[in-house]
Amino acid sequence: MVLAIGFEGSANKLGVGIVRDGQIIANCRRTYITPPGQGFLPRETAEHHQQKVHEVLKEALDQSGITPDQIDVICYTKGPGMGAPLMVCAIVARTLSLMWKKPLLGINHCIGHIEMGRLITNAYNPTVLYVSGGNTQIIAYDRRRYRIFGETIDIAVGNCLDRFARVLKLSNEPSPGYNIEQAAKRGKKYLPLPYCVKGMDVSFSGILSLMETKIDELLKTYTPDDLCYSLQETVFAMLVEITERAMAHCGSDEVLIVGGVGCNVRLQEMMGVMCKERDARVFATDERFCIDNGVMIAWAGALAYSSGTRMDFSESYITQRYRTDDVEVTWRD
Amino acid sequence: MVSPTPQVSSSSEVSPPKYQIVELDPDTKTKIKLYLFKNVQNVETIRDNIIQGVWECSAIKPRYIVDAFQVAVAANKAVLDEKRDAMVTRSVYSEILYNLSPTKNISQSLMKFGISKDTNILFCFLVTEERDTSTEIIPKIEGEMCSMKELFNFTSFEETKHVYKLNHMKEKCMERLLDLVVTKIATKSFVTH
Amino acid sequence: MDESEPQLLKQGAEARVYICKYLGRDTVIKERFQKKYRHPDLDVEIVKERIRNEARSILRCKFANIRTPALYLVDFERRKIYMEYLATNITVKDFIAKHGTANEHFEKIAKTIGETLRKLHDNNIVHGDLTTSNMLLIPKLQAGAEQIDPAWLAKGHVELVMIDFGLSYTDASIEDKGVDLYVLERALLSTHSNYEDLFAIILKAYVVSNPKGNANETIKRFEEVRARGRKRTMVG
Repeated sequence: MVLAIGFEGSANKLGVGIVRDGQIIANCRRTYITPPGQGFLPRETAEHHQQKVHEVLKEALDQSGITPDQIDVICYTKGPGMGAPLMVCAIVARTLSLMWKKPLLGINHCIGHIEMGRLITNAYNPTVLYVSGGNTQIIAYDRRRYRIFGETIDIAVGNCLDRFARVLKLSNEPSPGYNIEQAAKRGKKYLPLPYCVKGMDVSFSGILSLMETKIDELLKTYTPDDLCYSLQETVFAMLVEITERAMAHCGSDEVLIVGGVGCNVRLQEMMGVMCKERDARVFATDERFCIDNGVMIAWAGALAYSSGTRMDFSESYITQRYRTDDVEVTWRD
Repeated sequence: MVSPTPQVSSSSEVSPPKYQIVELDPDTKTKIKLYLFKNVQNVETIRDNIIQGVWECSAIKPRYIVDAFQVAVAANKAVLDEKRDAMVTRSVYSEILYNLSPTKNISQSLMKFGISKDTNILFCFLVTEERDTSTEIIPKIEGEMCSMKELFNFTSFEETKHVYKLNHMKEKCMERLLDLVVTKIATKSFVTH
Repeated sequence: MDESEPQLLKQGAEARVYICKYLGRDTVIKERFQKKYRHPDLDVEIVKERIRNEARSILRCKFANIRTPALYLVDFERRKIYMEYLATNITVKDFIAKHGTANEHFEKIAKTIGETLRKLHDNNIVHGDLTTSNMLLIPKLQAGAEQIDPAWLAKGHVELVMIDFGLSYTDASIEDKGVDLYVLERALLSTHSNYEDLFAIILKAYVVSNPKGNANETIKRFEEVRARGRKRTMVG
């Protein structure tokens, strides 16, 4: 029985989560929200995390009802992500490791998402679509690695959505993606946009730059709702298409959607239609688990820890670039 | 890989029929029936009758025809387009000539692939359950009927290559030529090369 | 083969492939069926574009002396392409799976792939979905031979046929070509991860097969595209 605490702060969410043998006993989070039209920058985001980390940690300990001495391993996000915010959690984790005299484990953020998704949905061996502000990847497990079959060749889908939200000056509260999703529900008129699939890879920069440069002109014929609708329909169709290609490639009949964009209901719906047609099942989670959180780090850490993975204190650095397929998966066959 | 085009045989006749039949798209319920003639004497009559629409058939110069299949591909598209009201020319028979040609210029196409004073002619009839115009027209052709198997004797590899602008072809391979020609015909409406 | 009823040969993600007799010949029909998950306008547009791109690139390849199936009918209304059926064939993927890289002809085939890709790119055609499933080996008739030698594969009498040009386009830029190579490298890594030298041989043949043109620029761009993937910060 492993009791793990996880710290996540690779982007604008700060999360602390605690799991005990696959049971989530705390999942606490704060989000750094910027004014409309603005994205989050590393320094300000790190400051936010520094200011909030005490209260989130306390909240998590209270929620779980555990005391620090019961903890087996302290996990933190090693990467990928923004340097300064990652550093905040790493420092907190290191400090606690020394204070509480507990082992430390750095976790790959993407692996956290995948394992969290598998835990919540009970998907067995799914093709994983990992979609967030910084990532767009199609992943499948093969011989001790989560291998990347397809990914964006330029910007992440979440980045494309967030930046378009900024163009429209949509609120960042609770998140730009959520507001695009709501606006899209009201959209009716479909604007054809560049559709760019290359093998199992995708590209979103063409769509974004078209929207950015032509926005004034577009707003003469289309409402912002129409544009959100058209954007979602196009980019999600691309994602579903490459997911299906990967499934066909691997002979898989399960899809798991993880990452912040994964809680978009329209994306889940489209994926569901595709899966139904090929007798496959789609697994997704809601915003509690899709969006960056501490539990995913705690749980991936618990898995690695139970299968014997250890990390020396001297290795407890962070890395902004850390690919999903760099991690050896010791806890699966 | 490429199956030989079937030669129709009928046991009831003494000599095997010299024409060739190819079934077109099942939806059209149409077949093409091809006859090859040489030393045709009444070319002008034939031309006039076809142009005036009295005779329903295409009269094709065999010089640029590599195989009956080439005509089948062109005729198939013509018949489908007729059904869909999407023809470029006025009749399905001129549409066959137009489809055979690599250019989008109608009169040039008809001139190049149709007959003028040519005495060698490949006739193409569209035959359905109800209708076969060949039975009344063929007896009126004053010439020597040849077997479709002899078509290659009438074909000029070099000129066909030239007409279809395939100058990159190095080896003299009829199969490759046919491959290119039918692909060009199939893509003509939306590819400019 | 039943004359009238098409037989389903393969059900892919985007298309169903049938074989049947058509215009008197054994024919492959590739139908790009409707994908219900995407907006109907987008669906129609994508399918039209892919059929057009596929047909256009197949023709272009022929002009570049790259073997592709002959096209018999391109039917936008039915969302179908009718093309030549290559009865005797093996995909490069299956060839490698069956015979491995120790096979004496493996290197020759890998080289042919590299040379063919170079020809594609020199003619500004980008395939867009380069995988070993989209490359077929067919028997090459030997000079003077009337029939296919049943031992064609063992003897290495092969010809490479490129198929599945739905994601292709013509008038490709250097970037497109670089991405094309990147897509292939990724596909090889995921399909043939145990044969690491495969891509290296292909790439080498790609570079040396035409000393005239400028492959270096494409290779440089390919390396940039690859580096972009590895260096992407991936925030969030």
